[in-house]
Amino acid sequence: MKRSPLSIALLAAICIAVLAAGPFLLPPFYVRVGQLMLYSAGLGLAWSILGGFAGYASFGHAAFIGVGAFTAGLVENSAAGLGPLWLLPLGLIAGGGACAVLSAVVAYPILRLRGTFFAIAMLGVSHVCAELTNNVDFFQGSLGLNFPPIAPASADPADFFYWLYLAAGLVVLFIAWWIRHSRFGAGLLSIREDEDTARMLGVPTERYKRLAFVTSAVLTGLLGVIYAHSLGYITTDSVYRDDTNLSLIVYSLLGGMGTLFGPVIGAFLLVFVTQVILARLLDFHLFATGLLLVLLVLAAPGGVVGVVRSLRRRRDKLAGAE
Amino acid sequence: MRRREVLRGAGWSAAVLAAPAIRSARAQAAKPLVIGGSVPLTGAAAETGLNVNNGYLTAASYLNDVLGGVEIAGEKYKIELKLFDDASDPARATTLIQRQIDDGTNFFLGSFGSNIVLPTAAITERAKKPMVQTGGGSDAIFTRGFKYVFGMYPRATRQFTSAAALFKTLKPAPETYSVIYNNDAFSKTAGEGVKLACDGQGFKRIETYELPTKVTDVSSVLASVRAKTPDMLICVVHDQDSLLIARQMAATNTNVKLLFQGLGPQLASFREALGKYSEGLFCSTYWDESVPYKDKFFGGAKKFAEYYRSKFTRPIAYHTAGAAACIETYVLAMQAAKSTKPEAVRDALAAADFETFYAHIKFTPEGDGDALLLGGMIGQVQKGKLETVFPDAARSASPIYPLLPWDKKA
Repeated sequence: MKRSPLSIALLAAICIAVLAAGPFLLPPFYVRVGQLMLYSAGLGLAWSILGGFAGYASFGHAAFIGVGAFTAGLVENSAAGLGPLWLLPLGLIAGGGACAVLSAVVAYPILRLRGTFFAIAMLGVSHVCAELTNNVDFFQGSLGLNFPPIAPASADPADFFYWLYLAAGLVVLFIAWWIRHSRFGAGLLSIREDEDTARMLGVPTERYKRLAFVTSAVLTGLLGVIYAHSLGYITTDSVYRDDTNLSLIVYSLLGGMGTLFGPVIGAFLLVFVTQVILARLLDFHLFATGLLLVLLVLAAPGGVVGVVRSLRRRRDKLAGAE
Repeated sequence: MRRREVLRGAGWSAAVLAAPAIRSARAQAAKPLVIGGSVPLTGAAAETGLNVNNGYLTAASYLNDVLGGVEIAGEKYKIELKLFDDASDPARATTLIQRQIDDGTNFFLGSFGSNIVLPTAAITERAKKPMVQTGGGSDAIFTRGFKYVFGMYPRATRQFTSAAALFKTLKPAPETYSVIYNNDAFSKTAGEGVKLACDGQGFKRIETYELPTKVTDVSSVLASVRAKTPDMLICVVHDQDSLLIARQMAATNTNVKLLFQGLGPQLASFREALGKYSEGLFCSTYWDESVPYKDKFFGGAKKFAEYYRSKFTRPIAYHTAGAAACIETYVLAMQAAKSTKPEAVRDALAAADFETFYAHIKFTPEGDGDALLLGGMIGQVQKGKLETVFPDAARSASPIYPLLPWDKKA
């Protein structure tokens, strides 16, 4: 059964309205958990444009969170005279721009690698960026960088950042949806399935890969700028995190690799499990999280979306048999 | 015989039956005083995080189990810690703290690392709940106008104030200095603090040397020191680098009137490795179990250290003592305020002026530790032993200055 565009639009509007009402309905703790869910979902989706659609699983996307955050911080601090209303847009432009330049430069050599080699090379990029941020005085990574407050005085900062993450997440979702349903997206899927055959059939694989890489990096960087603002003060350790690198892959694995909503579901699920269910376990929350992940991936290798699809196929098959 | 067995049995039964009632009576006698917080037990900051956590646990255990609780405004309280692992992740720490605020926790202890402490402090500040912490020294925490956040150390750029104050008292007065630091967060911040404090005291800076994070040779730096010799060479580097610098200075007979090494001379292994060459070296000693401070709970630093060792096998560190002092500070502030209301306790913390086994506690109006009282003591190696030479209240020996040349020490 195919749904009409109107019903899809209506469903999307209801979902957005429910999410936007979160701060009015939820206690502050869940608003913060919501922030993390939306931030993680946005990151997961941005990662998925390259890792899920094109099959180039990056193990170093934290590089773009860090580059975006530190560039924005440096630019905003140098323009401290501007009002808070202008600071965030300025930071987003600077942070996104820096990620665009970095990814465009790195793309040439690094996209020649595939599979594990690409993943490890990206991990290297992340670590090199972290070291440079830490060791070059100009970036202030070791001393830490302050972010000017941008939340309006009348608003609770937790609510403000929740809505900001929601808006950013929706932008990333829209871009990912558009890519997924465009010629460009079809090209990326063909690269994931068989890059050599895709090239042979006339898909401009190099251009598509570079474009996906830059898009993914810029979106990640923009989310990094918002994240840094929500913390208010960052050091290298705040943003260049290997656990983030790992989590981005896990979101897609849990939700469904290469699907549109897989990273969103995976991020929501993992954040809920780690922040709400297991947060009170002082000594073995990491062990419990790891065990749960292993069990989930073994039980549902296609992720949540994979399980739903196989259930739907089974239902359709049964309906056809009747 | 039989009668005795019956009596014994009756006695045990009575005890078993009465136990819940006794427990209940005890529980009624002591109210819980909930103090929340997050600590990095895993992740990048776990090594020091464990020291901080052990300090919190030691203080709570001593006050509850040994002293039977603490009395505040005529009522008995037992400390109930609600600490969670933030995995060295600021985002996780913020949700953990928010959850505790939602659950009604009124008092907070700090995590470790300014990048975690500051975002969590912003939440407790907004909720008007005090936080006493020993893990965040960045200036950013104390320059945002927070009223409810208190640190057990001076802000980073003031942490050298006490050393610079000591240098000013030396005769003949030193006039110039050079500073060496590593290119990492700890060392670099300390280096900035040295420059601020020494420039502030009117010493003339000759040179600033920034070493890489991992150092194998400092001969070029020492050649520069010999060419432009300062009265004081201040090294705020890690202990293994301090050892390298001292060894190469001795080998090349690079002499200064005062050699300060932030980390290194505190350790017996460092002094043994350098032998006679360690004589006269100055260093920072934030806390040591030999400090002379006394309090009404632990009695003194030695007793605290003994109790700690009876509970943990992990070696005691100054972060452990600082963390325990956070809880003691809370209790003293509550006793002074005669209240457990967050606003009243906050005011009492702001007005704190009392001695603990750790140090004399006094905060600046911005909430960081008083630069002289909580700014760390200065030690000097004298006859192979580490003596405290500053501040006067903790002094075990007078400072020796200027240093003997290396070839005279051999």
